[in-house]
Amino acid sequence: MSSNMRMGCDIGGTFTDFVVFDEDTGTLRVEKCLTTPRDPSDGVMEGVRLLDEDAPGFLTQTGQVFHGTTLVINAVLERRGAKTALLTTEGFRDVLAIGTERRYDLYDLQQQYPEPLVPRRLRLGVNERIRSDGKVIRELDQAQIKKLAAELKSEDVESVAICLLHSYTNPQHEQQLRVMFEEALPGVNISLSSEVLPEINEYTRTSTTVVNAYCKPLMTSYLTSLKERMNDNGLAGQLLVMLSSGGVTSIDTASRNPVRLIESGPVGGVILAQHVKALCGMKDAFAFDMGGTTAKICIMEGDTLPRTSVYEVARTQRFKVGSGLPIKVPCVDLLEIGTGGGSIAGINDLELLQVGPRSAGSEPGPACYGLGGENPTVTDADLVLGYLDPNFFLGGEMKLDVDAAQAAIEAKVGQPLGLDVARAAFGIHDSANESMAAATRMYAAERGVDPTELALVASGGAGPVHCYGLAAKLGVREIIIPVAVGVGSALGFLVAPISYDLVRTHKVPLPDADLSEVESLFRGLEADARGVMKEAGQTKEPEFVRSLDVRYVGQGYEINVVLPRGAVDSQGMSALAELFQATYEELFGRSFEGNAFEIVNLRIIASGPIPPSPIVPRAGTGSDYRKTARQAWCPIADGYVEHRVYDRYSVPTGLTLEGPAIFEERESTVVVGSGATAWVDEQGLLRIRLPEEGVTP
Amino acid sequence: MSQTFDALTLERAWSRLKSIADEADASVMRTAFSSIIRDSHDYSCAFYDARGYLMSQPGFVTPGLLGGMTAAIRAINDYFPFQSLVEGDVIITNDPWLVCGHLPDVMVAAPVFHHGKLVAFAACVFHHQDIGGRLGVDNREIFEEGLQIPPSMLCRAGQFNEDLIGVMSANSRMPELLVNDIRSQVNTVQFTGSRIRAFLDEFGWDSLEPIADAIFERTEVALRKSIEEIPDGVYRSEYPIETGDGDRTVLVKLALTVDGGSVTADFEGSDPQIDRGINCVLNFTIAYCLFALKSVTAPFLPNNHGSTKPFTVKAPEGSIVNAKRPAAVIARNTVGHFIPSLVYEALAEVVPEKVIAESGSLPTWWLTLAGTRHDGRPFMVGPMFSGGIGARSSSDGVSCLTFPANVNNTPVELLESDSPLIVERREYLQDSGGAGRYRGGLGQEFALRVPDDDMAPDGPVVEFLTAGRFSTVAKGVSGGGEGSLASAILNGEPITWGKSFLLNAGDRISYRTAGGGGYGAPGERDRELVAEELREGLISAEAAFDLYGLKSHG
Repeated sequence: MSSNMRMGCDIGGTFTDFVVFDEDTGTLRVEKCLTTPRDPSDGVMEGVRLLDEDAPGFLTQTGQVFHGTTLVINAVLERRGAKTALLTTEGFRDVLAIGTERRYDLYDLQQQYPEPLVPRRLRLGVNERIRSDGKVIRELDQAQIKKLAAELKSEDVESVAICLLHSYTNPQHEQQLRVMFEEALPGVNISLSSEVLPEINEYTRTSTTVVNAYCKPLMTSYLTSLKERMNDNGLAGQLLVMLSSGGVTSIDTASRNPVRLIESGPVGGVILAQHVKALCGMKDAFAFDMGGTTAKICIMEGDTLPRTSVYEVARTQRFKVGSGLPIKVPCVDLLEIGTGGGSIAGINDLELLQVGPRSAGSEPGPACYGLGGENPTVTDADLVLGYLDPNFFLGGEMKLDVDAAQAAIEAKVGQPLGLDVARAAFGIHDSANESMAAATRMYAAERGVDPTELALVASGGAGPVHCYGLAAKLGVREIIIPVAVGVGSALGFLVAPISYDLVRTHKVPLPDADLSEVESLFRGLEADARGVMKEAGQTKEPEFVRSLDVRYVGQGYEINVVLPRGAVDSQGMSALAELFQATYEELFGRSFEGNAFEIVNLRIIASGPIPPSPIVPRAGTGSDYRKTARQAWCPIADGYVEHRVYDRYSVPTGLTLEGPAIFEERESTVVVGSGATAWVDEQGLLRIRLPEEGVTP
Repeated sequence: MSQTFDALTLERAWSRLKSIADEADASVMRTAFSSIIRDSHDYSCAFYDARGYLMSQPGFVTPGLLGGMTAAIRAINDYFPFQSLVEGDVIITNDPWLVCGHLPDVMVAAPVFHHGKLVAFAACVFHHQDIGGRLGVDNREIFEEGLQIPPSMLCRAGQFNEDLIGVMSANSRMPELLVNDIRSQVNTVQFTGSRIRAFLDEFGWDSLEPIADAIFERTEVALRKSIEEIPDGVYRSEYPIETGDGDRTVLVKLALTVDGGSVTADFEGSDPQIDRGINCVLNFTIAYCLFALKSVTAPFLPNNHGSTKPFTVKAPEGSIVNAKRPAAVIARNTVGHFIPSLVYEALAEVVPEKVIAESGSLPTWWLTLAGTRHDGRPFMVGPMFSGGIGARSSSDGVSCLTFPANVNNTPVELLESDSPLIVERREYLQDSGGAGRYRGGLGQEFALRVPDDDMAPDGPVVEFLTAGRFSTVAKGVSGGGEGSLASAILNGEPITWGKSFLLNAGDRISYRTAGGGGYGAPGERDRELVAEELREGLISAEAAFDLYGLKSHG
């Protein structure tokens, strides 16, 4: 049996999305079904059943299934994880609860913080001590460990996180504890901080290790059961899991390191955008995804996905940094903004318009859904402005109530500000774009990027409606909208190579670094990564990229510098020094000549080959691409003007159309402003070029 | 009066201005060197219009630094008249009476020019690790406390004053940290300036004043409306604050007059300044008074020039809350951080639901440990840590949280990397939170040891602590119990915070911060919660049964 098919499957908050790509025929099939929160694998199997009706036995021909899931993040949010214990160095069991001691809001006297995932009675101190240079100054106490093990046994603990001080530099005690606890508590999952996050800073390391331990049993049983059910349905190929880093790994590795799956879903959209950008021969671009409650922005420079490692989960105030549980894992550098189609518009204490971050969600939803929502939302504004067709929302499956949208905008925004309904609606639309633009500018400034030089790749339900206004504000000249934007994440999974990241703290001043020691540490990391890649079915030697986090001695900010290929030598190191100074100067406008600098972390990324693209050339059918025309708001004309409406999949390749226009497909609507041009290219991508002048009023 | 803007333009411009302040804040995290900046986040950035009025502050500031800086910007005019400033000028000062009340807080400020015209001021204050001087609260005069920098030109038209840098460097125990952090401050104000120019270009405006006035006016109107919800009247409180010198306390008295949409805070009757480094300058008193009033009346309104207008603060000259030169001021937080407590206590009788019980976390503990490593390298670390905040009207006080300042603690692993010291404990203190329907936040034990092995330091380690609540507990509200007292124990013997100690190899010192006061009677606390906290070890069996009246082992 050939295995020429690949499937992407993304479990989102509301829908589970599927894409099946047949490499031989180039066909792409798309399916969507409702997510089943109690056991998400039910929803997955329902989708498989629907796809199977269409193409019986397709799973037997599927070589790889790529799976993305929000299970980890939901387990933490809904507190559905395992009964977990934490072992720390004695005297430090409350580090997890004490946190940073800083308030996330200066003035709010009522602020709340999330409860730690491990209750205090299950946080136990171990009598031992390792110094910052890695030297053991108190040995483990066998008798005490026996007592601790008995205690955990009587509590029926399912998972144990072990985080000892300075274990990032000497993991010996953590490893010994694992052996002892595995023996004393058979069947219990164990997570070591020296494996999950071997980096300095005990609070972040403990918090990350605890999230990992908390989700491990759940993730292991979910993935094992999903694999069995897939196999029962004929899957002979592999089940692989998406990582927050944009990499792909085996279910064994994923089960051991569930904390690395925290952004497993959203990352697919960025991978797709990265791929689309490359297809268009562009170097740098924004990925912009806007859904019901949030928008996500990512700046993609060059060939690799931008990485970060700082993340917060279960915030008590969704958009307040510091109100959640910190985790530090390799993660695509996504900016989340509290603006979506469901964001509520109203008047704040300063008597100014405010859009979001409160959201109407799906129930009651925007006023135009007719489900009892009385607050005007961004979607209501988009409808009143004529950008959305009340009779063609989700391909006409859901009728929208224009009168209800108008009434809500009139009452809550128009009257208080003394604006007519249309201007109030445009105010909401524009304010949503402005908050996204402001956040994007800040994010771009932090990375030293000029937004006007980048193209924008848009996706998500509301993304295509807002991308034009956002691009105009940012000074972006070109917008690209890929096919099947409604299932963008699942499609993105199919273009990701198998890959895995590892990091290890090794703090040493650069001039004194023992290069052979650095080399052997790198080799150790590579050997570990090789094992992980083998589990994921990679028989060929992976490609390794080595890099170092370097900083000035004493400064808090580290710069990641990629090392030249080959073994670490003195020549490579002096090149590294120059590169570090140059990168620093580029970021901050100056460097500190004469200041010593040091290595902080060693990092490697191992990756396999890039799979064939599921975005294959397709021609528009050409026939009846002109649908109708409708009145929609034009900010330049400061009034409603006629917009031609096109069926996005029927537009012939290469035909250039002029704005103002609207392109419709089942899951989204693309708005093109006056003066812009748009065409569908040979890849089936919709391209929009903004005019040089006069984009904003 | 002010130019009118349409509501949409105003909203758009305002959201842009707010993000400039946050961008400035983020840039510091990348360029600063010292642990007190990068780990503790003890710094504040802000920018001002051409008149020196506060436009916007980032999400993360500490009230004392922000308030002091805001006063200092206007004062620059007396030293360097605004019209004499030119592009590329950068001003520096740490004058406690002009800025933030003690010498380690150094302000760097720059006029921002756009098409040759002064349009704004960008400024930041960093709390530097060391500005020289004697490490002790028992200083008698400012002259013992380190280098004083009157308002001076750090850069004149883009030319760095290297002589001044040399003087600063020569006066610090950690000269490289000081100089690098000062340069990072210059980076920050220059970056802020470039963002302000880009903003004006984009909107096609030539000054900030019209938009500033429109925002100030709306802020002021909204704030006055919130103040009007408090019944008119005069509300009083007083508090004896410990001095770190035996049983000696200083009394601070407050009378708050609420009159329609205005509040006057008067500290008349407070004790005179004293011959110890706990004196508070007027700027610091005003800053914490305004912070507290805003947190009660309108916590979610932006903070700008408009939000200061409804408030007037008066304090008799020469008093402990308006000390005159040459008072010693290094530990002014040990008095100034109590001011919010006085404000809440005064308002508790009229708006009990809006205030919190007294906090064990004030003042913020600032510990300095300095010495020489075994290999001759100097070290100096400045960890900060806190007790528990007071319980709220509908929830428990948060344990170990800075209040009213806002800084991070220092991770143990970083502290041990930057010094030879060994931290032995950072843990909640059982029963430290005041009992109540809502419990006060818990304090913590933070214990450390000077090693006596191969890492033993060369010579003694100087210990210098600014702290409080060693003799005055955090009281509860509406029947809530009091939090535990703070203490420090050196090799088993209680010590006081007001005096510096020399620690030797093998010495062990343990610090116990105070708990917050409770809210409401303990008998009204949810029984299941009492039983749960007993199981968790947050309260003892005696507390559960005697204080809370728990009947059985739930």
